[in-house]
Amino acid sequence: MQRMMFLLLTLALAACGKYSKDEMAQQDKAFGLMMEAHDRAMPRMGEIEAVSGQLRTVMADSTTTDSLKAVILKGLERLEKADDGMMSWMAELKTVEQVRENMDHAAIMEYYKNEETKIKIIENDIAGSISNGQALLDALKAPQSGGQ
Amino acid sequence: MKTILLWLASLSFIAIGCSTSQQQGPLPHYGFHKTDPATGDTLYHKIRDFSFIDQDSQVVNNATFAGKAYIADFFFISCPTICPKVKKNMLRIYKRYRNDDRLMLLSHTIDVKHDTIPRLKAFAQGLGVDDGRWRFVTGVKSEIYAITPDYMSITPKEDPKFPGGFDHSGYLLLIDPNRHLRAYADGTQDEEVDRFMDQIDLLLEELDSKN
Repeated sequence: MQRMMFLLLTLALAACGKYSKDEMAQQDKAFGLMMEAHDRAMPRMGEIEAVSGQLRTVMADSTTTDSLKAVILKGLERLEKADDGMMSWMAELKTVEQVRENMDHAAIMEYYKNEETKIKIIENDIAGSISNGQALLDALKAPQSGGQ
Repeated sequence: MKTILLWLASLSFIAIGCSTSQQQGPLPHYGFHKTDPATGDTLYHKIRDFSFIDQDSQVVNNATFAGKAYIADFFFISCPTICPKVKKNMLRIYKRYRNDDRLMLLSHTIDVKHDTIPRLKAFAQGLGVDDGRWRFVTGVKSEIYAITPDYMSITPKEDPKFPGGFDHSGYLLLIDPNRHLRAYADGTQDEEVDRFMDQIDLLLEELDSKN
């Protein structure tokens, strides 16, 4: 009976690892909070490419002036930077399983808090770059006033 | 009460009948069709010409799938949420049809910067894919994005369900040898993928009946 109890206790400890149930729940929650920002921003990545594509078309137009091309180029660079920000963030992000391999609870919580801050900045960059690009396109589509 | 039960029974029968007929009949042609002005024939929506590079540095283009059906999806290796679920289901499909010459799989990365050819190769090997039936392709980013509407034309462009780009939705698309879109499924949903595999079987039967 004692052996059985010892075996069960060993198995339970192995399953729990170095974190309590409450700590693991906190870690999962922190990861989930961070991912909420990601899930809001990620669907907009297609918009980045769509707006970029339209801007590239204007850039390629032989009637586009150099000064306008410079403005469009800045818009395109902003879109590219936002896109790259998201992709690079995801490439570097560690899953809960990965951080549990070598971090203690406090470090994990801090890691996901920092990542949440980073992804919220990226979310803003994405929204801002799309708004900026779309505003450029809208301005180009708007009827030009006669006087200059 | 008896009448209500009778009605419910009748409705159930109709529902089952519809469901069965959808499974047994030929698969529909999805997408935005046109009509040939000369003949009046329907011109089914078609996947455009493409050329990408796969995990073995081989060119993958329309000719790669000549005479075959294929399943397409869009993914990227570091995707933390949708892609792992979709890849799990793509792997189920791959294993089920592994020895079937009539079907291939085509996964496009949308992260061409990080998903390099060696990384795609390692990813494929990690899934146990080594026979050329499942191509993981990269290419010019704008060209990959440009082709997504061809595959993702199964829903109106402004569908609120896919607010910012259907290419991130995890959908699997079944393409026939004529490059027509014949079935689709949410690759994150196991039951939908089960149904999708039934539809793959239907398409393969259709191909056999034409040969």
